Amino acid sequence: MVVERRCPECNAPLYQDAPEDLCPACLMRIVAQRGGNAETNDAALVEGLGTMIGRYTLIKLIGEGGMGLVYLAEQQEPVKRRVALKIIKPGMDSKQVIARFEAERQALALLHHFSIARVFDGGTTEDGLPYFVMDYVKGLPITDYCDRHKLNVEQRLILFRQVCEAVHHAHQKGIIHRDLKPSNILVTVDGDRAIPVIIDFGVAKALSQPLTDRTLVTEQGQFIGTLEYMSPEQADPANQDIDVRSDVYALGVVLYELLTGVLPFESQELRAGGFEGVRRMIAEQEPRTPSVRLTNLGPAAAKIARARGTNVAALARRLGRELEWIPLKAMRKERARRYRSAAEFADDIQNYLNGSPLSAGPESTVYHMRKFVRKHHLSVAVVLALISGLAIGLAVTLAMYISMQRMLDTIFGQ
Amino acid sequence: MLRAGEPGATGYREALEALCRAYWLPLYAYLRRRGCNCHQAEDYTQGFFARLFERQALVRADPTRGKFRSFLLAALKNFVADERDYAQASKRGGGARALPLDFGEAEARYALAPSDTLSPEEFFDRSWALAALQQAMAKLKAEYAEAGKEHLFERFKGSLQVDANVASYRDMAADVGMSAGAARVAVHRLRRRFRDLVRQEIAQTVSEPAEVDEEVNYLFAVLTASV
Repeated sequence: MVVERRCPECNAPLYQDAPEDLCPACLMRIVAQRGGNAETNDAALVEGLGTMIGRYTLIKLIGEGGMGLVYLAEQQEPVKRRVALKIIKPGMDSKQVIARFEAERQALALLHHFSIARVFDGGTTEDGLPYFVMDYVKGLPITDYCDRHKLNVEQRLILFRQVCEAVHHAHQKGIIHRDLKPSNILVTVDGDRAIPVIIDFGVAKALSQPLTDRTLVTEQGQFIGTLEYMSPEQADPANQDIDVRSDVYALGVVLYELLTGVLPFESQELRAGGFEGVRRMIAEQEPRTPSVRLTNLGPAAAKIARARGTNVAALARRLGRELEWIPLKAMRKERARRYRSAAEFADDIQNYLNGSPLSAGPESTVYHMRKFVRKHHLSVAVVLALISGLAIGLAVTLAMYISMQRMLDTIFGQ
Repeated sequence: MLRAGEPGATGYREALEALCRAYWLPLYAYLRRRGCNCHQAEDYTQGFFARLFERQALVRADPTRGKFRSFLLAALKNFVADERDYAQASKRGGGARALPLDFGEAEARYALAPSDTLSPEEFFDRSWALAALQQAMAKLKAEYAEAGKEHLFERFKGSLQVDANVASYRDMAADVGMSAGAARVAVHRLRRRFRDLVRQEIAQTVSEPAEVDEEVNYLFAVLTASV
């Protein structure tokens, strides 16, 4: 009476006598794992409500990301206020994280923008986990906000332009975000005004570590962190040189998503190829243009268009006419061909809203050809060599034929 | 093994009886695995308990020392050896009903177990580990049901086996209408409670609290080896 089913976790066969149909070995493993590292830390985090971390009392768990848990916390001294406190999950070198944070703290203190949540404190918990304290922002990720309020394309662009301006402000103070994505761009409502607020400025840099197979993949083989908004230069393990244009790239992906409702690369497709596949895809594969991506979505496209107060055909037409050039320019693989700054990005959005000519344009045919040659230089060289070989052969044959003909003419012609 | 380990203590028989009710199935499974047919196994099990409660078997195996699991198996082996053959067994213990046990269910469970090449002893240990898990699981389920949270148990029990990731927390949270953070807390509590219950269960069957870890590790090894 053996049942051919296997435990998804330990791959042991599952018999019908298993309690609640769960794998006995896995269940006993949980019991045996009492001192497990992740488990104790998890327990400390989850059960830690009400405890003090530094000057802050944890009140409520409000979010969870790949990197850590975010709590609503209360500060008593010197002022009583509510803050967001992010505790980084185990697995990072706390000393290094805090050292990097301290190095950037001075610059972070100079950020004053109503669309930037300040990160004003950081330290390590008693368990040695790094934490960051920032302004508490109550709001939805920008993509969710726009969909829930059914913002049309103009309204989305206006909101997004403010995000670019805030990012530019930080860039001018010498701070690069490095992890811009919808969940780090929250929209709060003040009266009847929607204000995007960017969180986590300074955090990604403190957490930055060389991108390798190991940092990307957990023991369960799942990718951690956000790959969808990562620029090619950030995905390159050999590259240490990140500048404002990496943020421009990430903003380009966010705009792509705001306009089309989907990411330029499917998350599943992106993660399917392992570390090397991800890197290659981000570095080499050109995203489909938003208009094409949208029309290829099938029935899902209708809902997306409806959330933008329009229909699929009209939205695709509008994107294809020139709007899509903007996110595509921001997302170009070579950063020299992107917008040089978030301000330039914002300006181009304003150009579109004004009906003025865009600085972005469609990729030229010459550019595509050059790119094709660069990518397939070997095959192109072989084909060219073959063609020129054939041409030379043909020319030689022709020349010989002609001279032979002349010779024959000379001999028999006269 | 706490109260059951002290023959003179009050409630000794009750405690022993409770333990036997929880763990008689591995004994039955062992006998079946040794080649007894279901009637023989039934008679031996009942006869064994009858003897156990008269405390005759306890002379040779002192339950205050070592694990109840080893004790029970050793006592059963002695009992079977003493009985020599089935005829004698039925004369002595056969027909006696020391405990009201559902052998129909036992036979059904036995039929569901893996039919591989485990020795009777290994099979006994595996059944024992399963019994401990089942006891704890039943208590856990009952606790959730009592608190009106049966739906949470049903939706979250899968995470007792698989480590949940961010996405699965989100799914689970959406299904029961709570936030992802709250789902995480709920899963954590469920796992912790389950762990505590299994450990309590096992604590009843060892003579010192320090042995609980040892027994847990042993049973874990049994479960991973037997599959």
